[in-house]
Amino acid sequence: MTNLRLSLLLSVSFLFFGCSMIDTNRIAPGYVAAYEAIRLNIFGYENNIDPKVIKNIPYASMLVRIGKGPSALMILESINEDTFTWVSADGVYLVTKNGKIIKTAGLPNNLNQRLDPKLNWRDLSFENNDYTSYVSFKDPDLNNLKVVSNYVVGEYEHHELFMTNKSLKLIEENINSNIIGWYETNTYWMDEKNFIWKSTQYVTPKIPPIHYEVTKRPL
Amino acid sequence: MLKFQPWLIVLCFLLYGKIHSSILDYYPYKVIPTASNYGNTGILEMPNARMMPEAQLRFNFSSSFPNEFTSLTASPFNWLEATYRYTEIKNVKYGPASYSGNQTLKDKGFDIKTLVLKERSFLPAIAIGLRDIAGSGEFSSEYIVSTKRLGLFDLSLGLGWGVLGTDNNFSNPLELFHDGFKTRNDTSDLGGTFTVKNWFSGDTALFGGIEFDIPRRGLRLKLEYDTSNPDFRKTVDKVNSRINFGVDYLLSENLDFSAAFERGSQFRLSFRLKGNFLEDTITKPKPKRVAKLNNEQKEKILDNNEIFYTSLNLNLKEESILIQAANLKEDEVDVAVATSRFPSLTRPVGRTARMVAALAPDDVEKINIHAMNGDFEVAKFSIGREYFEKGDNNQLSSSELLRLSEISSIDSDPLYKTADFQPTVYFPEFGWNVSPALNHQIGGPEGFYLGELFLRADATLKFKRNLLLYSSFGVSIYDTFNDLNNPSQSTIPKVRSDIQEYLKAGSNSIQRMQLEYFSQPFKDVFARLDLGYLEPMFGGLGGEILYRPFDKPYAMGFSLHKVKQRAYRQLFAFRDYSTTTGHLGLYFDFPYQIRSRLMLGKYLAGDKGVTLDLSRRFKSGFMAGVFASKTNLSAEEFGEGSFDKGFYISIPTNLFYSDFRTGAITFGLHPLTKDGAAALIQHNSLISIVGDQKKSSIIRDWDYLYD
Repeated sequence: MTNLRLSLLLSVSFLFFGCSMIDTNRIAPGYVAAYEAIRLNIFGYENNIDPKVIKNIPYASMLVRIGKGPSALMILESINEDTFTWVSADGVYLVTKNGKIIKTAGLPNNLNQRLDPKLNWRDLSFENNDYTSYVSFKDPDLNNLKVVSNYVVGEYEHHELFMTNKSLKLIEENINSNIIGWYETNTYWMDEKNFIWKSTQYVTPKIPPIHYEVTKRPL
Repeated sequence: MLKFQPWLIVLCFLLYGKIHSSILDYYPYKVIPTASNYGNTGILEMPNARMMPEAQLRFNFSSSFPNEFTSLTASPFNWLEATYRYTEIKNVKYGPASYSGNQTLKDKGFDIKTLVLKERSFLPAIAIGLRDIAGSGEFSSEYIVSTKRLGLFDLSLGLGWGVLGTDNNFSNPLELFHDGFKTRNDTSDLGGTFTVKNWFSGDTALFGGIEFDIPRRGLRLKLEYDTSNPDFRKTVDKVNSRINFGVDYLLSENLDFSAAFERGSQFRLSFRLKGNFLEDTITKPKPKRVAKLNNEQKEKILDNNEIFYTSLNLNLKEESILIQAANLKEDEVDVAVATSRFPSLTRPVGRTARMVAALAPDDVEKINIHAMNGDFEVAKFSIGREYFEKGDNNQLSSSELLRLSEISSIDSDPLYKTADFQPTVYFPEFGWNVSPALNHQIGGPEGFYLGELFLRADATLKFKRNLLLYSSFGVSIYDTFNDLNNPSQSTIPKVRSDIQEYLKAGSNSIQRMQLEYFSQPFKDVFARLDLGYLEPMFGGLGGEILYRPFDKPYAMGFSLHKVKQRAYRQLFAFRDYSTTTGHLGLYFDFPYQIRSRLMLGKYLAGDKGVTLDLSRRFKSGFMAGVFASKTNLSAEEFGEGSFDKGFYISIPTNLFYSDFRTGAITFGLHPLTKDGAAALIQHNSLISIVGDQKKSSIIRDWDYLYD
């Protein structure tokens, strides 16, 4: 009897952990959906964007993901010197300057302004220096929050990107805002011409990190 | 030199909160009022005037010596909290060792707290609460408490009676109004009754507390003056301090932990899990779009309507919307649709209208969608094609579209009997699924929790429209029911109190096996007949009829069944007891989505009486309700609890998933399983099928039409 119960228990375990191996149509739909929801919560969404689609779009583009959400393609809308404005199909805007996100729009909570004296990577000294910037958020409003950054630079390494392979160095930016207890680490993968191909940035304390990867570089 | 100005300090405190309101939004932790030891929002042992937001559920576990609290709190309104609680009293035995072994006493209790005054700039919030009402009275207390926010401080001051008034440091102000408030001695041996005469009577104490938020660290510090004096009540030997203090750590919006030091000698550890179900916060798939037909395709459809029906059918199938019938006429289209994917009627109707608008010939001006639930056509939506398309392109608001559309109930034969296009359905149709499930017995003398993990298999065999055989089987995997050892002492027919025998013997069982027939004989009138094993404890035959006027807030129904008690093993045999049971049901919807149900009739044990059920349903589908029954049984015949009562919550599964789905997780609780006021638990009751499928519900969900 114990063996029978044990085997039944194993069967139930399979219902929970092996949904892809059995006919899920015969499990009450709630359990299948619960499995899927937990899987997405742990592992996030897979990127289903076809590289061919990106190649066929004549504009510069990047893949963007917020937290563990699905990837979305953003298109370069405008260039103003070294400031790029990117837009997604659902009306989210990201403005980047030298790879740093300096403004967002269309998100539930947005970075409205970033006053940063050193936004050009060439001007930065990475050794034991703290850089102070002031950031303002919208929805809800908070103006001129002091944020201190320091940087750690790695060596160039071969890096596999979605569309190509590159030799990139990793720059880690440790940000802190003591007044609200906000401590995060942003990452930038930079090529030898100081172009940021890939980055993960915490732009406000209220939304998960924004991951982006440039798939077609602006000319 | 500046003089000390106390008012300036008070003003600074008052403005401090406003100055920092924006930065508070950006702290990594959102520090909000948390639960007291007892489960509802409060300090530690003492309450405060803070409330949970509406549509919230909170599970609280709080352990110390001698009291360990496990509770569930719901907030059907933002001014009302209700808590159901089990308390383990560790220094008292449940009963003699021969009866309950070493088990400690478990006490059940129900609390209610209501906000009577919202906080204003210069006025505190004021709440009134009752603790442990209709229970054994172990923790019976009443209180009125005020709480004022000053910057990051929350200051509370209140008056307590009952256990909270044990300190007796204040004279009862209510004695001025009536001498009855001087004493507190009304008792109920059986528990379960409202000892109203005791409320706000007897010894009175002034209590208070301070809470301080540290949002940067996610902490809420608590300090209180405890007036419950357990040493005076002899529940503990000694109290070293009347001051309790503690700290809450709010790890996330849904989880917090706390530690406290109470009575100068005991530590308490707690955690709380909570969820808010006011809105569906998970993004769901957007409607599928189809390209409009070109002229050549439209001409082909005019020559052969089957092309229209087939393409509509295929496109809607991708949305899990199944066409039951369709009729393409010169200037209008009728489509009957059914779905088990969408919890509201308006979403599938909107998606169907969009497909029809894209695929129908240009001459079609009106789209009639017949929404079905099961085999009932529950509503007909007549929508102007042009208006729908304008709305879809943001040129017309949804409320304008509602005004220009017609929503009605069906007053003729269902479309599937008369339409040109009727998809072929092969009967008998068979469907089944399996899922793990749990059975519980909580708070009994044999152990606090006894349970069973089992596999449940549901099968439906549909012979024709409106006629089906529904079966549900249970196969036990593991259970602890053999420990049950508390046979029923009921003096009336044991229609429910033999639950332990059913749980022990029915590990592999046929929970239901019933033939069901549905009919809609007249407009707004629905009928159902059923025959077989109708529930785990009874089998028989009977039926019900329901009149549900489509555009009125009321409905009424009548059900009648001749039933016989099933054998404990729940296979095919019966026991000797049989009876006839039936109820007249009156349903009324009040504003604010408050629903009432009044059932009058004869129950399974032969007692006659009434059941009142009150619930609130939120737009998300989340529902919380309470019920109570009173029959012609005396309190002694009914036994412990004196009369039947309980509560339930229902959370739509849709709120947890990234796709639409029907169904709900329902949790209901009868504090005691008694024979009095026990009604037949019916499958597919008519009110559950068509009760929420009427005009007011459609208007409530109209915004979903374009979603």
